[in-house]
Amino acid sequence: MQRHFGFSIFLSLLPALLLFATFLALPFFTILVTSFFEWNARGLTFNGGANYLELWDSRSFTSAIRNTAIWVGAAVLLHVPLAVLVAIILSRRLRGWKVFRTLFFLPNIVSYSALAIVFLGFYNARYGALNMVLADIGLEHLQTDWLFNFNTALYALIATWIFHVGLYMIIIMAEISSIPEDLYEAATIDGASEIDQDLKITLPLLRNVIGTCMILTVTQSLIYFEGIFLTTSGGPANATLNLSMATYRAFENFDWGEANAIGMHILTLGVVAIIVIRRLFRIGEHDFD
Amino acid sequence: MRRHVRHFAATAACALFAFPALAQETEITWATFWVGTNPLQPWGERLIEGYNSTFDGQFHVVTEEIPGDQAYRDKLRADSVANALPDLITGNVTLMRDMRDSGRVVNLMPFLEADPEWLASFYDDAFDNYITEDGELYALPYSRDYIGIYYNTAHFEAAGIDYPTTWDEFFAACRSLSEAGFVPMATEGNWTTRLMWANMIGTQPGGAEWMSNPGAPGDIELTDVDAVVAGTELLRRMYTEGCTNEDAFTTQYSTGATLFLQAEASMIANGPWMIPNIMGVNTETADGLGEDIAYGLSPGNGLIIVTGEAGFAIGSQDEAEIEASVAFLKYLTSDEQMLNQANLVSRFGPTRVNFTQEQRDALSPMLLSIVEQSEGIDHAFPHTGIALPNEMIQEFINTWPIYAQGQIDTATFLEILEDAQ
Repeated sequence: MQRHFGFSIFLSLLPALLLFATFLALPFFTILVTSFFEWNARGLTFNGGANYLELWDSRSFTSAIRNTAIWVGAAVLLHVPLAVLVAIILSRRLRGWKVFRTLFFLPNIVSYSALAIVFLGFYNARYGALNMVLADIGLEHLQTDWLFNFNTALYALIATWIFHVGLYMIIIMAEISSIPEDLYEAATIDGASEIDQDLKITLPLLRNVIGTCMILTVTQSLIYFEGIFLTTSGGPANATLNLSMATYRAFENFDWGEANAIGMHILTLGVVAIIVIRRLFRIGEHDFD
Repeated sequence: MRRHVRHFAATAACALFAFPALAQETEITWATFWVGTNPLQPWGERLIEGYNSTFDGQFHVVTEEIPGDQAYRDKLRADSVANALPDLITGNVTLMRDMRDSGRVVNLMPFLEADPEWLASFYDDAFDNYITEDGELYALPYSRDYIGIYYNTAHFEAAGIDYPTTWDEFFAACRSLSEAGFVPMATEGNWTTRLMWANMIGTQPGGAEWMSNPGAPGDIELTDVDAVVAGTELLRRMYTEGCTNEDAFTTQYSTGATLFLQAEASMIANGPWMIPNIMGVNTETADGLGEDIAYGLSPGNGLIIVTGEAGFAIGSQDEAEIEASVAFLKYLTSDEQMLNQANLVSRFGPTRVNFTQEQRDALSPMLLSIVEQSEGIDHAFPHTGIALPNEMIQEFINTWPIYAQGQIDTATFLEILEDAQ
């Protein structure tokens, strides 16, 4: 009887296991193994760790790591905090809060590709809206080719994405609505202001969900590709090159082993980030029942 | 029921015996990006119709449509690694080199040698881009391009100047055109910019020779070649002196092309395949643009001439399919199809075709004009896509903006390109 039960559990898990093996385990294993090979049109040739050594010695890979770190930093220090701030403000249900919630969420239902094309026009050096506005307000000296100036390109690209906080805002608002109302009532009786309540009740109780949002935003930053590919392709002079774009470039140069070695870096950084964030935010631990 | 099945089987068998060709027809697949708004689409369509009707019952070609040359290239590269190439592949020199490296395309030389008439129909230099040191031909060219500079005669007239014949005149013309309110030269930091780079190097002393034989990938030197240094500095001057559009680094072909086709820019470097677009085929252009455009040589009296800018390779491994594919290539390079190519997409082929006067009269005057001008040039050279390896080209696109903006000097720029190969 017990044997039959075990077999039926195995059978019920089989589809999921097959999917896991096909779409996750096998690709991961392929990436890992082939990152130690020279893989191009001629086929596969084992080259030890040469792909990794070449990467660590390459200027473009250093740029990709630096740019990815800046992107992740912006995600952690600006993206999620902005989402928390907006969520807390909207959770007070001030007049028109539903309209603002919708407006903040709208960019999330537009594809990154479409947004990239819009921003390509917005930043254009010849007819872009940004330069026109700067001219209108007497700041002509700030006009530049935003996406193709080495000093502004990365930040201009980050700005296209950093304000799209809608998804995290919705997640955080849902968590705020689950905080017991009596905590706020008790605080009000004790004379705590709204800001005190936000800082001492809401924020600490959002620890779990903020941690989750951090994991989502960091992993998303590590694999962000479409917006860069469709605007700057990693240029000028690698100013906007991140790890995903570097992977594509290696693929483009028919250096698939190197592309997979970069892929292993993305994977490792992602796993490390998840572990660190889980520890920092003690994700899974409950503050109240 | 069983009787019906038997009856049907017998009828089918009779049909096959009665029409043996139906049973023997070999079907081949051509993976193509000549679809949608691609300038080569009209010729591609005619080619398929013609081949299928000429070889009706013997061979039949079907297409696997992959829009966009970038997507096409990515797909074909993956196919080559997976040993799943389609029977017929078309693409530029870079893709054809990838196919060569895969070792999975058919050597076409034995088929040409088996048909001396076909072999003799090609220009002597026709195979230069596709032949290996061992004499193996991994792709067959289908074009011979004269890549000059289109210019808007109305703009030059409005600015009171003639089309420049030297680089000094070119920069003077840029100033005059700017003052007249036009963008002198449309570029985008990629294809058209690199064509100008080739023009500027190729018209320097020794430049054309270097462009024609820059060395093997991995050993190409740029910093020590005077023509390259001088040509590269001219290219930067084109940007710093305001000869080009402000958004000259987008790398999107449409950036420069749209400016020219809307008559906002006065010049653009490009191949003859742009002629249909200039004439308004599948393209929104400024009113009467086609009448104002002329096709000229590069300042410095040079011209980019490339035989086999793109070619066809055979990826099939089956004997019957290879035979059908070779028949396709013969049909592709037949006089009839070379004339179709010239008529429909304003491009000449790599074979010696004697057009009748009537046939010539039907061709684009711009196309005929550039061929005629090519007879008096001092410098003929290929473009950078032919001369330099893909890695170097990608690095050019990546680094050109900061070089043009003066953030690095010429030596550093060229060293970065050298390191990329």
